[in-house]
Amino acid sequence: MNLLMRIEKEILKGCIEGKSSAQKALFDTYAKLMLGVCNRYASNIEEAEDVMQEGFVKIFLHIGEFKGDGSLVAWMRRIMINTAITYYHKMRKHRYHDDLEEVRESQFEDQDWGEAEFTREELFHVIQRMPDGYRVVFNLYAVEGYKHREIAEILNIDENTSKSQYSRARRWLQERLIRIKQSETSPKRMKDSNE
Amino acid sequence: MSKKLNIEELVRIRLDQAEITPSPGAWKGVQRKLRVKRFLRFDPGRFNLYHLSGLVVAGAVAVVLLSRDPAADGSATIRNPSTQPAESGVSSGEPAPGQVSPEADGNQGKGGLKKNRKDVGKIEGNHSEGKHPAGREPYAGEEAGEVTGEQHPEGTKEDARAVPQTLVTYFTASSLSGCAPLQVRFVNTSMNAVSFTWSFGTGETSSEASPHHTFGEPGRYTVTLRASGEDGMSELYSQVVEVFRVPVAGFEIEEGLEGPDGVGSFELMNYSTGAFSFAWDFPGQEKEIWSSNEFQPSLKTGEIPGQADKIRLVATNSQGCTDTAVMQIPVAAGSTARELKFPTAFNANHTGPSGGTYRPNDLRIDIFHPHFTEVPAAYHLQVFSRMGEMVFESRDIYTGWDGYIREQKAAGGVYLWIAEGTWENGSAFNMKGDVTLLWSDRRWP
Repeated sequence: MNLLMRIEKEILKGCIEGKSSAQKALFDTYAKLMLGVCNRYASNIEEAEDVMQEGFVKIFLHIGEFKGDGSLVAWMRRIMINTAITYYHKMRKHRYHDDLEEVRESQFEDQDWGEAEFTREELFHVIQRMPDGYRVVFNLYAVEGYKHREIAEILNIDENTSKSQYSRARRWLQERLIRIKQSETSPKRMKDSNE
Repeated sequence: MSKKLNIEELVRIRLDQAEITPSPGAWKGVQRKLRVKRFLRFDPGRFNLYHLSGLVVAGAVAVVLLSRDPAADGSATIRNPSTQPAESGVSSGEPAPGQVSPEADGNQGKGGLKKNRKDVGKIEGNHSEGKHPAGREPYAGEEAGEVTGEQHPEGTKEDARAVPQTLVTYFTASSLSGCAPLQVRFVNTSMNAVSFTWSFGTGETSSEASPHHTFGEPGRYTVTLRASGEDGMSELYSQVVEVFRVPVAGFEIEEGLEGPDGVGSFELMNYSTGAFSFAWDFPGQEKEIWSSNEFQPSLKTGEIPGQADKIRLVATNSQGCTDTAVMQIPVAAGSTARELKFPTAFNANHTGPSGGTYRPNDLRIDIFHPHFTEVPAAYHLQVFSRMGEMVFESRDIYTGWDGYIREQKAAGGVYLWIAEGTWENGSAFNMKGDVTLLWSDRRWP
């Protein structure tokens, strides 16, 4: 623990001084975790990696502002999330607005899941296929723990929009997960979902 | 693995710490982007676009200044924004730095510019990231413009003592970081200023000298004070206030399964977000009674003292910000946790007195006894006829009334009962009611 902290301090110092070796060390230590964060906000891995790179550039440029009063990882994560949101804003202008996709009332009950019921890849896959707006709101609320009021401010949307986006996102996700489960347990029924 | 998660927990637990190996070229990409950004970004320590344009401008200014009165150098009042108030001595006694510049006439233009640049660099250092992407220069531009335009009217510049009115803009803050909502008291220690404009980085402003401001939302805010002197000149000073996100504590109390010993439990389902450490207890009770730092503890009903009706969760994040959630221990569940229930009728057994004893979990309808969730520490049941005669008495909860009085069948009909006693935790109970004794042949399955 102590040694780790000393190493982190050393790396941090090097990064503040702009040393390329320290930057590389920081990247090597945290790139995997940060890519994991970005991957939740992106619609594919290439996009996620792009956001992660942008994020690291910001981190290196602003590392002098890191006060050291929180954890470095938390600070880096925040930058990644901000970068992902900026990216989302940028993309929203170009992409087709599928945010308003009608999600009909789910025929499924709200369900609880076992921790190991899905692989990590399955979960990433489902999340990346979410409509962009759902994905951002879902991540910010469910994983990062922002309040709807804060999300509204971050995304420049109405608080109620955030709430309704969230509940739709939740339903959307729930439904996909149930489908995955069904297709796993009874492969025959996979195709004829009318049953 | 038996624990079920809601969809938020599922995603959070599985993906929050997920690691993905980047593609081999990722680091190269970062370096490339970094180089491009660096060149476009202001940084006094590195050659970049700004140096390039700075050199061009400096050359031009030098030419202009050489053909003018050299003392009109405008950099005199550009202050380093991080100047400490102690340095304000400069303003009262000594002349402003630019005016006593020992630099040769020819260098003054360049010297001034260089100083400007340093100032800008410092201001930038105080800035929150990304707030003013290209907006660092305006400070310098503005300042320099105002200064060169208005500051030293001809005649005063020769006598340094005639300029004691140097504007010093500075403030301190009661705190520069903390949990949202963060109330900050700003103390204005500026000198020689007549009016102030504060901008808090939130879009809000104030013209008070030393305002209070509450930052409701988490974030980094650049608080800027613009002080204006009598001559209309103004100066900026800023500091960054960082407001930390507060976690959201939330949980639900769910009734767990009854253990083999018949003792019930509560599962405390933690729905908190943005927190990493948790502290559970009963508000208003000694910590020794019960507390836990588990993520989702379970609580035996027997551990709940009689006076406790609420459970409290304090969730803390890495910055030490906390949020507290308090939940009422469910009333129905709370009372079933320690409850006696007496039937309103029982059908005694014709075949003769049984002594009234029964085994735990053997619910008998031919014996009058209570259903209970916890064995009381003390128990006293009395049954009276309508004439007020006591027909049965028991101090053992596993002994009920079989409907016989001294080996004889008691008359069918209504009897009154009183049950008194205390629970393990010391709380007392005192109940009364009536029960109908039946001698029916009908047997229930």
